[in-house]
Parts: sequence; structure tokens; C-alpha cells
Amino acid sequence: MTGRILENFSTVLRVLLGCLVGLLAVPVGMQVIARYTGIIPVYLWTEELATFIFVWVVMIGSMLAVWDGTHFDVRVLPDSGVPVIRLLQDGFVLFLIMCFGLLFAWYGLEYAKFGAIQKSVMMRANMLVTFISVPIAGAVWAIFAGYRLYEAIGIYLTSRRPVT
Amino acid sequence: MIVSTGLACGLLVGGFILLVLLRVPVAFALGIATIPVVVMDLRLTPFIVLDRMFQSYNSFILLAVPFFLLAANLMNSGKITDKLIDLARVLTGWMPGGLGHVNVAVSMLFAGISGSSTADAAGCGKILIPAMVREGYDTRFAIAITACSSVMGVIIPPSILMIVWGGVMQTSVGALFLAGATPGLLIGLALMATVYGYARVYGYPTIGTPSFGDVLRAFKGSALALLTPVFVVGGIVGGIVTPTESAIIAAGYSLILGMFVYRTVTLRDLGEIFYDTGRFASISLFAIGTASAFGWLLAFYNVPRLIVTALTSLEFGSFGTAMIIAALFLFFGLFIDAIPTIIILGTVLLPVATAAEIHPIVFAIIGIISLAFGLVTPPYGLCLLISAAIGGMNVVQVMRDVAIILLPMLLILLLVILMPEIALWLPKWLMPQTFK
Repeated sequence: MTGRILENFSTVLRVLLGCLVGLLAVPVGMQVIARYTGIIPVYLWTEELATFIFVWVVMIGSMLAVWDGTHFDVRVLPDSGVPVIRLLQDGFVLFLIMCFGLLFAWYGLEYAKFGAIQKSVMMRANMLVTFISVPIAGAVWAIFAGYRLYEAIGIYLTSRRPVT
Repeated sequence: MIVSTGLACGLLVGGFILLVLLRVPVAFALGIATIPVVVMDLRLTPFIVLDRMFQSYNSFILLAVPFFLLAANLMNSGKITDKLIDLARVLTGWMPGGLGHVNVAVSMLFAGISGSSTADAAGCGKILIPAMVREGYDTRFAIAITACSSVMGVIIPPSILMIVWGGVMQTSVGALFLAGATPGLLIGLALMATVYGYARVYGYPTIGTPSFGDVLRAFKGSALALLTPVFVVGGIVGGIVTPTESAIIAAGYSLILGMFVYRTVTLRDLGEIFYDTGRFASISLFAIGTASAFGWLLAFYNVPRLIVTALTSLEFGSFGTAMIIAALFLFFGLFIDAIPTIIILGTVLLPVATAAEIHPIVFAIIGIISLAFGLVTPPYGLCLLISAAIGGMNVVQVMRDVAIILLPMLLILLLVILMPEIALWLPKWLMPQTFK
């Protein structure tokens, strides 16, 4: 059940990520069109909006990469064939990411509050709109890594169960 | 307590290496390694580190990264890569080892348009590795030449690494683009010489001599795609567009070619392409944040200044220092992605290069070429991993061929260190204002 909910949530994030990349092209494209064609006026907020979207692209991408296990790692040590060592190998990494995520979420909340008292220079937008991505990213890493850890433990326990 | 520089350096670097060895993803290892120092040192708070990390994303120039990746993905999906392969075929296929030369030549053309080595390895590899195997080439050679030639993607302009370097180190991106052109072409020629040597030893075939009509058709087919470097490099060097604007122009142009000219990209494909671009770009870009926090802590503890003092006292001179810089970038490139390495090592070594009177552009080119080689060296050689996966082989099985092909490429790096004018002549000629 939890797995299905998280899988659906990751699908929502995937759609959101694709849409944001497409959306990212709009303000930057507008900037280019305005500067070189004069068809539309030069809007000063385009650069700011682009960086706002960019922050969310990076953060959502980082969340999905935890779920998919696609963050780049370095495979110096070989994969162990022993289930318990394999669990320790994978579990340790997931546990660290989960703890880092929790710390990120905890301190990120303070950071988001700091953003909430600021306004952006051009759009006068409340900076919470991007700063909030920090605690959200931390919480989602922790949830995703925690669930993957739970799965890894489940796989290990299943492998230990005698075949009947 | 106040943490000493030695202890901080040990905790940061030692912690990072340990975490990477334990397979913690590099981006997270950089962030986690900062925790002990932040907890122990009274002068630091998590807020400062978090802010350093977050503010690194607040950069307009970094927006060029997803757009160049988008251009490359659109080229691969829009069959523009196929048209470049057709052109490379008629230009170089007549030589012994024809498809090997085509592989190198198409990487040079692709590099001139996209700026992404991994997109080159994936796009060209999918077509050329199976084709080479069918023609009787050894699979290991096909994988190795695809991986090694794809590194030109970040050396020949436009280049994602050069844009990041220019943004982080405040160096002119236009001048970097121009400085990368000659070393990139020399690496291409070195690769073609290696392919020729292989063809002679193993009797690899030619594709056959193309007729004038074939050449004309191939040029006509790829002419529109070949205009991209004119917009991108010409626009930046001419001071007409910023790197980010040039990247969106490249992406927009690739989109127009794919959707309206060649009609190979549909609206449905577009969603998938956007998602793929976001997924890959964000993995690389996320590491920029944690690398920035890590790099900032190194600077906070004066590590760069200590390295400068240590290296200056050894009196290596420009050549010796450049060799050490190249060796360090090559070593780090074995384990870490190029972008975080630029942020951590590049900023640490910049004062070292300045003290040794190495021109910032030469320093950048040495760093970028060395890091590009890291794309084909295990354990973290992304282009090699992609090519090996396409060829269905283990990385270890192709290492011998990679080492053989890399040797002449390393000679070109040495040549750039010995004769920096190889990199400097073009920017000096076309952008003299940068050198005033």
C-alpha cells in the first residue's frame, strides 16, 4: 500500500519535472525574443522566474533520483553475494541518506522561515516559494530512502525464510 | 570548540572519501561529510552551510546546462544525430577502419552542436556500436572508441563544463569556447590516427569511396544541424548572446528541426524528452549545491591558501604546477563528476595556477581536458559506462582498449601544457579584449 502511494507520488513528481523543464524555456525564451526581436517588451522578471523554476527542477530531480536510485555513486567495492552483507552495503547508504534528509528537512524549516520574510527583487514574490523546496526535498529524500531501506530489509528477511 | 584546519581538512576530505568508498552517492557524500565539522565548530551553523548550498542554484548561467542537454536529447530523438552520422560517413568512411573514423568524426560534429559528452555517447553509441560489430569490428574496440571520442563533447565548443567553469571562476565563456577548439580538434585527429593503427593491425574495412552525389546529399541533409555552432559559439564569442541564451537558442533550433523540418519529434515525445532532460540535469546540478557547501568549508579553513603556500615553496614553475594540476584533475575525475570537481578543486587550484603564472584560460583548458578523460576512466567514467552498457560488456573487459586509445589523447594534454599557445592563439586572435 505505502509502496503504491509512493510510486504514484513519484509519477506525479515525474510529470511535474517534465512540465517544469518545458516551463523553464518560457521565461528564458521570452528574454531572448524580447532582446533580439522586439516583438515583446523586455521583462525584468523573466530571469528571476527562470531561477525559481530551476531551483525546483533541481530539487524535484534530486528527490526522484533517490526513489530511482540513480544518484551517481562510485562502485569501488564489488557487490557482495552474501545477503546480510548486501543488506549492510545498501542499507547503510539508504540510512545515511534518510538521516541527511531528516536533518535537511529540520534545518530547512528554519531556512524556509528565513525565506518567508524576504521578497524577490524583481517580482516582489515571497521567497518562501523557493526556500520551501529545501525542507520538502529533505522530507521526501528521507521518506523515499526510508521506504527503500524497509524494502531492502524485507528482501533480506525473505531470502532467509526457508522454502516450504 | 574551534576546529583546526588540519582536523577540518581530515574530517571533510577523509569523510568524503570514506563515504564514497562505501557507495554513498557523491552528491550526498559531499553534504554528509560537512556535518561533523559543522557540529564541532562553534563558528558554524547548519544555516550557513544550507544557505551556501541553496544560493549556488541561484545562478542564471547554470540554466544553460539543462538547455544544452535538452538540445542534445532533441538531436538524438529528432534523428539529427543520424544525419550527422551520414555526413561523417561520406567524409571519413573511405579510410581504413571506416566506421571507427565515422565514430570519431560524428563525435566532433555532435560536440560542435550539443556540449554534452554523455548525450553523444548515448546517441551515437546506440547506432554506431551495433553497426561496427556487424561490420566485424571487435566489440571492445567499438565500445572504447565510442566512449573515448565522446569526451570531445565537453572540449570542443559549446561545452557544458566550460559554461560551469566560466560561471564559477569568472572566466570568459566565449574565450574558453575558442580555447577548447584547437585541443579538441587535435584530440579528434589523435583518435583518428589510433583508429587507423587499429585498422592496419586488425584489417578493419573501409565503407567505400562516396560519390560526389553522396557527399552533396549528406551535406544537404545535415546543413541545418551544422548551423547550430554558428548560432551558439558565434553568438557567445561575438558578445551577442549570453551562454544561457545561446543554450535556449540551440534547444529551440533543435526543436524546430525535429518537429517541423525533419518531423521526427512529436508532441508526445516532447514530454518524455523534457522529463529525461530534467532527470539527468538535476542529478548533475544537485551535486553543485553540496559541492559548493563543501568547497566553501575548505575555503573557510584556508585550505586553498595552504595549498598555494605549499606548492609555491616547492618551486615547480609553470610547467611543473600545470602537470600537478592536470594530475589532480585526472585523479579526482576518476571518482567524482566533473561539475562538483570544478567547484571544489577548480576553486582551490585557481590561486595555485595564478601564483605559477598560468593563464586562467590555459588553467581552465587543462582542467577541462583532464576532467573529460575522467568520463572514460573507471570507476566513475559515465561515457564508458553508457557505451559498455550499449555494447553489452563489462567495463573491465574494455579497459585495455580504452588505455590504448587514451594514450595519444593524454599526449595532446601534455602538448597543451607544454605549449599553452595551442589553446590561446584562437581567443587571442578573435577576442583580444579578454587579454588586456
